[in-house]
Amino acid sequence: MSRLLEWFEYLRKSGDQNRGFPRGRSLSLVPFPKCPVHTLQQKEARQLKLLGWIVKGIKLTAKWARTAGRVSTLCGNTMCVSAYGVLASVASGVLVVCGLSHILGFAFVNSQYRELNLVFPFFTDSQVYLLAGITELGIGCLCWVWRGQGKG
Amino acid sequence: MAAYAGCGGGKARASVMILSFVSLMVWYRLAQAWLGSGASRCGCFGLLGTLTGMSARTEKLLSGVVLVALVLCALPAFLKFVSQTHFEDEKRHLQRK
Repeated sequence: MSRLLEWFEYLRKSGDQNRGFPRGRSLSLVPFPKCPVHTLQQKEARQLKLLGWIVKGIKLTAKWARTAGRVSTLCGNTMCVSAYGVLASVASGVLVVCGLSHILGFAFVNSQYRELNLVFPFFTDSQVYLLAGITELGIGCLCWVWRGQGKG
Repeated sequence: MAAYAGCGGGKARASVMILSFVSLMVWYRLAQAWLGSGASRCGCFGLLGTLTGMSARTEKLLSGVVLVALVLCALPAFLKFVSQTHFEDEKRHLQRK
């Protein structure tokens, strides 16, 4: 109770400057904050610090990726292959294999999946199989086309 | 992105596509887990899973590994694209000053 009275006294003295409450307002209209102003400021400062660390982390990772890209260009006698190109090719290969497997699964194991799909109820399980296969195959092919060559 | 496409291929586009595909698959898997799929196996590998005789657990685990591998493949080029656009923006900002 004494803490509450202390808080009211604090509001009366400095509330209008610190928190923008109009003078002469009845106390019942004054919202009761969860913690005093200085704690709020500390919390805000901590949040800002954390945000700063996150931004720093993103910048550092981006810089690392940029440097890694420059260093990891593998050059042979006739051409250079970017590490990014190699990674995109690997991803493309994986996607094409999975896509073909899904499409063939639709063609051969079709009878097991005639029920409606749980997530997409307007498709049957086998149709989702086919759709996934086509998507994977499409993305795999586009990854191969856009894999990038030469510069890293 | 169009500016990046001129510099050694359109790797950013490929990365964005892979990452969107992986996020879609993760969302699908989460939705399936949330709704409680009645099927004994996920069928994540299609015919390959049936032909190799993988157990349901191995199939689930391997599909997760493939998704992680795809993210690892796409992340460096995507981060490079982000860093390039970030540094270009910073350069432009400094030039204006």
